[in-house]
Amino acid sequence: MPGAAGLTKALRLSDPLPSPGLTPFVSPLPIPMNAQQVAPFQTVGVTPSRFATQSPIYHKIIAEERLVSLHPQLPLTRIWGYRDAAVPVSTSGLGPTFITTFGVPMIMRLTNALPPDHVGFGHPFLTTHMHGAHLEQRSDGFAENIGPFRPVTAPGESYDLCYNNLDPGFSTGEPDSSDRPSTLWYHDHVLDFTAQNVYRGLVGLNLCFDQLDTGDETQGLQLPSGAFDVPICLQDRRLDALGQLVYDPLDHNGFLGDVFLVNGAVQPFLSVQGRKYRFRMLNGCNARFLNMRIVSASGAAQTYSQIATESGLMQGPLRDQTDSFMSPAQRNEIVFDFSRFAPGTVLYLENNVDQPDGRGPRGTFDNPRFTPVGTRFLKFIVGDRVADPSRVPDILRPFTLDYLAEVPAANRLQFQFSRRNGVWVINGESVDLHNPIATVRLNTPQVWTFKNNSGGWWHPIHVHLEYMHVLTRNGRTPALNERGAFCRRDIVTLGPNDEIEAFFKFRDYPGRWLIHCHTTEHEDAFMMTCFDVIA
Amino acid sequence: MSLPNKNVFFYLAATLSLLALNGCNGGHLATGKNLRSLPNYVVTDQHGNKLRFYDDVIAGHAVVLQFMYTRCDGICPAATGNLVSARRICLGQGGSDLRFISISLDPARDTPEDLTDYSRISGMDNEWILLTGKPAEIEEIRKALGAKDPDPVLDSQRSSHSAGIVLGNDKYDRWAMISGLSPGSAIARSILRILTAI
Repeated sequence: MPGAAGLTKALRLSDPLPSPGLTPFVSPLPIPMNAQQVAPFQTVGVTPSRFATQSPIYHKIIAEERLVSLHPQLPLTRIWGYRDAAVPVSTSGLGPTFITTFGVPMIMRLTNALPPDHVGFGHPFLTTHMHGAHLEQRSDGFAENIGPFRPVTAPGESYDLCYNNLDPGFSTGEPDSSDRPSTLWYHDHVLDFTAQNVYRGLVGLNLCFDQLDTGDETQGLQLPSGAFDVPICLQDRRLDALGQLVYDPLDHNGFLGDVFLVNGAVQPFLSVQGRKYRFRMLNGCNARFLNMRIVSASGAAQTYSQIATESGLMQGPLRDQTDSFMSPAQRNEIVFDFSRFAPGTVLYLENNVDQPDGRGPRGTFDNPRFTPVGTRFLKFIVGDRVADPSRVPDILRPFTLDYLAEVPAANRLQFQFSRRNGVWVINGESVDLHNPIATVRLNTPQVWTFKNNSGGWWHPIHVHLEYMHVLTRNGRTPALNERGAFCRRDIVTLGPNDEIEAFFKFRDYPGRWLIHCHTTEHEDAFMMTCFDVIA
Repeated sequence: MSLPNKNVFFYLAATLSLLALNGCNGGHLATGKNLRSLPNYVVTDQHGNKLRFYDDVIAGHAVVLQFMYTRCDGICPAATGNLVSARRICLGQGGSDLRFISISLDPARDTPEDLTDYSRISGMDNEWILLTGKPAEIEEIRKALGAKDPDPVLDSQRSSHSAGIVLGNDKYDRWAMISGLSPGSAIARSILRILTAI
């Protein structure tokens, strides 16, 4: 084949082709639409808990292939996305945003309208996980069909899911109202293909409110609300010259893109008023770790208050912060006050983690390396100063610290995450979701140790069903933004050789639950296991 | 000329990049397909047949690929055992069209006769394809299939070779990798879910 070898060589030199250059900050930040309630329908296989005191609300969501504009200089991009069945067409890069009122159950019918004959990366069989929710096994989006549950939905099929939105402990008369989420996200979770399907766009948000975090800045905690409560879904992508998604399904180390999206748009801008804003940041990247800062045009970092992790409001705000480090799937919520800046000031939301590949950032969790110049995701243009009734009170969500008394007698388990012969093993075993790695009793205190022995790789470890109180990181008390007495996490970041101790209590819902790395390429290459909770 | 790579889009994109470098103009179609190309080198199966890796082994098929070598005293016996077990489960559940392929990582020593012996000892059926070939070309095939480690030291050690199983459905250009260290039943579920779902 004369000539062919030369072409192959040229291909390798140009592999991967960089994404096309795009002018940043030319389109406004999209805000995904709120999901629309529909009339109650006859559900299949789900009913709200008998402990629910309020009637459920109903939604219908369709997973579909559609064309969206990521940037005005690109042709339309073919993605997979969730669409609210109440609207005929969606042009959003994200699914509709659910608005959850705590205590009100939500029923969602997910219809898979993806093309059955799809060619290319992605697998049109879906199981939908409401990441961070405390819920029954049937509705958790288990990664494969198991037992009586058939959550994996083929094209043309529908599946009903129920989110009770009840406080953990509700079934034993000990509901813990301090254990409520504020920003959840839903995404596909099908075994072996989560990375590809999430990368194609099967992502949406769920914002949770209650009598404290009211969504009304004149009531309750008075956090910035309405138009001043802004979801920020951060994603990286790689595009070809015609704006289509590019992905290598045989690179299992972790995808890093070179195009940066917020809420489905490439490097948009947001015109803000001179007042406080709440930004709910989600690291929606497959494998990229983020350290988000808000900087001036000259790169000077500006301060903000962190108010929440992925597991809801913290006990109190962490004021005067400049850095929000987030593993894939983690959420950090901040309140930023633009009233400090003169009208016309320009600021940027940027990431400065120095990460060469999917293994993780350079450095360690305690001392990650940062790039001297950040990558700008979003531009803020400050407007006039306006009246601002919102506040950031010193106490956000009062925590009970009862768990500390339960630590000494807790059941202890250890999970070691290792790499052997190019594949992942947990406690030396490769995954089999029909054989749980552990069985624990409902409502019993657990102290779990997560240890990273995988040789320089980073792993954000996610446990389904319950949030964790982190007790120690490498034998020391963790920083406030992951200290169990101050906040909860549903993902704990294991840097190289890190060891984390965390307290759990699995309540209300017996069943089989997942533990996995949320670098989704690692997850798909079987860095996942499961445990049973029995009554 | 038969193309050595499968991904037409990638060919077009790269070709046009080269044309652009030479001052030529052109446009091309983008399909949003995978950023992946597979070599089409001539390889040899356990019967001594010469096959083009992509055209004759992969094209149009649902495939399950593992990497092994006959003298491996590390993970190969266990990983191959898991895959043989998975194969039997698949055959009983509608997976008869699946093509199971083992690629030698010791092609300089593994002859077709060695592969035939390995096939028999491991309990592989007659449909199973075992491949050897020129070392540099097998190495390229290995890397193209993602059975590699980003740590160059680990990647160069045959004893630490990948226990990954590559699943591919060429018709749909759908690819994934799972662990060959999992039990055969778990491997079979992934294979059947991915490769026979459509």
